[in-house]
Amino acid sequence: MKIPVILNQKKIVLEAEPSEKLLVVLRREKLYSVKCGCGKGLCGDCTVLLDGHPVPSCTIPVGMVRDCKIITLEFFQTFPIYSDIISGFAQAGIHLCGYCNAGKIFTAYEVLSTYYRPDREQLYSAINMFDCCCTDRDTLANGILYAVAAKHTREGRHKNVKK
Amino acid sequence: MSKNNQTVFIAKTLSDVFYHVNSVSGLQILGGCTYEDTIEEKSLTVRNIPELASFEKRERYIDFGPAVTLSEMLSIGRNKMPAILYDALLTIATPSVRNLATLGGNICGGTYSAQNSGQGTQKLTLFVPLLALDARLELRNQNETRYVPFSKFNGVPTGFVLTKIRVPVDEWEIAIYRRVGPSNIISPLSAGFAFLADTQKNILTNIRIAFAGPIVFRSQELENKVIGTRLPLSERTIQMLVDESDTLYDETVDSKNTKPILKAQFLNLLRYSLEQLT
Repeated sequence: MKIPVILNQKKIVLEAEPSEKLLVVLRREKLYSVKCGCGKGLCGDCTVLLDGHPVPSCTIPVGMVRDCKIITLEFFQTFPIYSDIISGFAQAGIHLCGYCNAGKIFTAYEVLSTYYRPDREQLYSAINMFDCCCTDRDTLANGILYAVAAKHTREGRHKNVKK
Repeated sequence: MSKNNQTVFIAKTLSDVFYHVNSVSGLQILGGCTYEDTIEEKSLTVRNIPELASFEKRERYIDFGPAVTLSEMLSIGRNKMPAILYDALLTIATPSVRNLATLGGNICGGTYSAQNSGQGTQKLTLFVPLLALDARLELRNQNETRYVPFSKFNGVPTGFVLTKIRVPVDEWEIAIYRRVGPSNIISPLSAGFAFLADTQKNILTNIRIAFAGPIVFRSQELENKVIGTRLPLSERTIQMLVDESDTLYDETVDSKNTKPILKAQFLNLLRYSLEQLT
């Protein structure tokens, strides 16, 4: 079946069985930031942005994503907010292992876009699922708080720039 | 058309859905697809229909479309929706799964798999709060609209589509929701317990007790017995009510096909909830 999608802001047609998981199809497209973890949508390793929201690609049959906008971590790296997240993580001393990057970065993105100034409870409810041994939850929460500060600084500077 | 003839239809309007439901036999309607591992040969995705993917908040109730995602429901906030519904939503999977999973899928998911696998029905997480809150479902086809109370819902009839879920927003003095079984995933040990109670001048004026998972338990008989009782409940009254619930549970539930631990958990939660009535 031919499935037209907007993958990383390019209109393409995916050739796949409708019941194939989006994770498998994306990896076939050589988008290797999407990793296979638990296969149940719990670990976050396969997270992608579907219409702007982080979702686990291992649970989605590719037939469902027709005409949807999909963004993977490869393309997300070109967004200014990615720099905020990475600088926040670095400030908190987070060194991601490479396997869990998509889940943690996209979750941070969701928190940053949902809350202006997230509190600890909101942070922990967002990151509760992460169990990767490379980063503990407290450090990850700190990293996201630093990322929030970095985002505010960037936006503040932009607001003061004379056009 | 693919090699194994699997086709996913896309509906943009509700009329499209009715057209496909009438013209394609054996059509499976897909929500977020987070519970079903496989999809049928012919399926229809409804997540892009604005009419089904929106909700409307009124003074006394909230009308949810079945394609509303669980994250969108959570965005309403705990103080603007029934507390047990909000608590139940928080126990479902992870935030990223909730971005995808839909209310309609959560209501129909377990029933659909049971019909197709021939195994017992496993009710999903939101079944219990909606049962306790006396939610009402709107089922439509091209010519007819039916309103079904949640307690009488046994799956969507052939040719019909679930178009609305009306959840009353009543104030309850005590609202308790507990999920039992493994967290985040659904297994035969998963079940939900809901307890709602209202009092006036130390007299219990309204109570709702529901328990659902592989089984569904809600007894009007039990609720009617408790209503009108003076508070606080004595230890003896609580014990008597728990014993009566034990008997009613055995009468209602086929104990051969369910795990005995579910009954123990239900009775413990019921005792705990009754003890909160002071």
